[in-house]
Amino acid sequence: MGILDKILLYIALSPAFLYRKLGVNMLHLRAILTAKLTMDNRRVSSINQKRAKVDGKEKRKSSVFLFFGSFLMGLMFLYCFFIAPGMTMQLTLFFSLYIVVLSLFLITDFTTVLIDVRDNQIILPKPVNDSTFVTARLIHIGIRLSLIAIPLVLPSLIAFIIMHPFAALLPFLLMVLISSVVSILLINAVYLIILKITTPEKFQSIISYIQIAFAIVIYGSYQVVPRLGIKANLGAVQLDQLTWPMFFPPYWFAKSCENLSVLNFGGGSSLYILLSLLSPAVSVYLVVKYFAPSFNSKLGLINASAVESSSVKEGATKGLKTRKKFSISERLAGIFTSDGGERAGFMFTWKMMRRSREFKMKVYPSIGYTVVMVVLFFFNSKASLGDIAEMTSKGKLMIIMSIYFFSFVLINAINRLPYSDKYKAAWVFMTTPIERPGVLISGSVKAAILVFYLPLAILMIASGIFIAGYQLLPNIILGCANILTISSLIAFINLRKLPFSESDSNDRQGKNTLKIMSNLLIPAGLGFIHYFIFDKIWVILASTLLAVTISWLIFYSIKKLRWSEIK
Amino acid sequence: MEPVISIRNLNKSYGTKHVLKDISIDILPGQVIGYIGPNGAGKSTTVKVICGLLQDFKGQVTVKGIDIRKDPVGVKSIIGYVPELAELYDVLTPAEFLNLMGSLYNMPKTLVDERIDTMLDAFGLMGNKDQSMETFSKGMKQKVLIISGLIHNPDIIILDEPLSGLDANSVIMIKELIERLARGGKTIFYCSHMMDIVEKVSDRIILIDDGRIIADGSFEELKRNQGEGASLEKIFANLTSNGEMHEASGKLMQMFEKE
Repeated sequence: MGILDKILLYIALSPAFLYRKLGVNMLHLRAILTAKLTMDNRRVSSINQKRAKVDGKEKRKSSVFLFFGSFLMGLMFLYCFFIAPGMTMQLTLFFSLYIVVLSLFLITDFTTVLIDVRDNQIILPKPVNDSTFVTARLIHIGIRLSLIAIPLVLPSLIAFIIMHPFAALLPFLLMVLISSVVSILLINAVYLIILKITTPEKFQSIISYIQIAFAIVIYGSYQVVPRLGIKANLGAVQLDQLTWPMFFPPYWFAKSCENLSVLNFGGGSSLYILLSLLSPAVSVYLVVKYFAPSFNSKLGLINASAVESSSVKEGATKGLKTRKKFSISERLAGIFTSDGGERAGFMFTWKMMRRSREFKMKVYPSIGYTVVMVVLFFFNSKASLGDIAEMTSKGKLMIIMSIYFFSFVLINAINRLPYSDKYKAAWVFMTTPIERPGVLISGSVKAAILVFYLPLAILMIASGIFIAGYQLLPNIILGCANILTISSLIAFINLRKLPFSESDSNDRQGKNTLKIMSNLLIPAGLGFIHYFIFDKIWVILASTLLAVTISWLIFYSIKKLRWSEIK
Repeated sequence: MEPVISIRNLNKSYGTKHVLKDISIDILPGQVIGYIGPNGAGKSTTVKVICGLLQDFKGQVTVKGIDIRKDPVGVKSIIGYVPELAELYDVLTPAEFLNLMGSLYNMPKTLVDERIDTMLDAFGLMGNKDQSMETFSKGMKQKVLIISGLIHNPDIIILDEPLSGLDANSVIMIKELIERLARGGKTIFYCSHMMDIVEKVSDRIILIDDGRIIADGSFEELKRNQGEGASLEKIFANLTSNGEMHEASGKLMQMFEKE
């Protein structure tokens, strides 16, 4: 347990008499919470720990990371206090952002907290009474929440103290508390609705898609919102004169905060205060009354062994689907790979990439980021489709940018290939007679290129022809060939591990970011050169040929990698 | 007869821990070896050496005349290894996983497909052929593992606790399969803690303790040395513990009685 957890746990457990009154066994409560918080902090597998000890430092800092992550996010909220005039406007913006960000943070973080199916096997068979169990879960959620919420609010709190009268501080804190509770119940409701409309097996993948979308939205909004904010003249907006904010909880919170600070209870203001105070109560009631009864039983079903019966039913249709997919990937494998190990690596990676939730979580967001970047770039440069069609210098820059920007997705995917939480299953590559492990890697990289770049390349060629006709084709094709070179080069430099054979750990992350950053220099450099030869058709054709040849040579050397060269 | 596996003075250390101490074994074709020993005796380490997974050992190991240090890949292609409690890529279906294994063993696709069907059918998994293994029970996964070790029709089969999680019918089937494979000339190396099964399936039992071989012979021979009528469990206990476990259980009971 980290120091932060210890402090929070101490605070949470201090009203012991209250818990005892509720029938909670304090010994159990403390034991469960200590174990849970310790696990949260070590959310890495046993193997990693072994490695961490070899390095001489243990990783027990994930709560600290979380704390600083949300603190950085909290700094962004300061924006509300700078662009908006007046407390109501500032706080309405702040509470809206706070509830959205907190809920999304919680969705990412809470899957492991709320849905720890191990509880069913480990804690429930022990003589632990229900109120202890429920209290432990609530306090656990509370502590996780504080670890996110406190740093998230901290910067805004400071700004608030500086900008507003001291009397407003207490109402502000109260409203923060209320909006945190509302956020929790909001995600609870989201969870429950997802559980209601889908099968438990799909639940986790839906949650991960939400997480992916969250990452993209956050990224996009921090890119876009500041630009919009400057343009919008908030000073001219009078929230009080509009009717729609009245139905908007963040507005209630802002209003109540303002009114409570000056002790104004007249007319409409007490209505907002009442609404604010009631909103957590109402949401608790809704969750408990309508959602909770089915929640626990369904939550139990997420346990893999319990879904056996339902998945057998699906078996028939599922089977057909796999067989169909099989033929597409197999046909591609037949074209692009040679027999044996390379094809095995290709087929294997193809399926793992498309099915492993973990891989998708790590790679799909980068697609979103890249789209956001390209779109932003497009608007910032004020280029138009006409620029692209006429290939003005602005248009050229736009074309180059989009071609090379999208290589980031592929680079990210390739760098992720060696990692998997199922890394232990890589024993199959050790016990089988593989002469040169390089063939597995090259098959694997080819699969990544086909999955992550082929559709994009086709899309770019098609839209290129659509916008500017065939004149653009040589350049787009050179771009694609260059990206082939870039990805094979990066695979050759970075991939010295078998596909999905390494566990992912936090301490690698820092190095990885650095590595990816340096990887990005390669497409940037090639894009730069491409820009200058854009109009020289013969140079373009020659370069395309060169790029294809180089990629082929690099793939050849990847295939020749020996066991001694594999880490 | 030429031994199919020959181990000479095998020594292996992990850091300062000396795990295997001068192990020498000759295994003839068609033998079923029951390889037993207490936890931590060095069974899995021996297996890993024979499979070509560990290279930094001292001594000489040849499999079918191939020096394991010179050509581990050649050795791997004639061995079928079913590891204990192994992980699987469970987002794959059995058909896909076994296809992967087949390709890694350099088998032609048509042959792999044919064998997958036959073997899945024999293990009663045909209905689950195209389901992701995420929902499989432990026994179902174990069956897939066993198939993956046999799919390339290896001459040497190394089974590490292969029956864990299997139901009674599957156990009977595996036992029969082991007998038949051995009769057909396959060499089987069987590691297990289940003494009654080792006693029945193996025609030679090697008992190791603390990295040394302390008994080697058929069950009959072991009985002759240890007294008629003894079960393998008794022999195992006599040789590896000097009755310590009786003492230990006695201590445990005393502890409870104090309450």
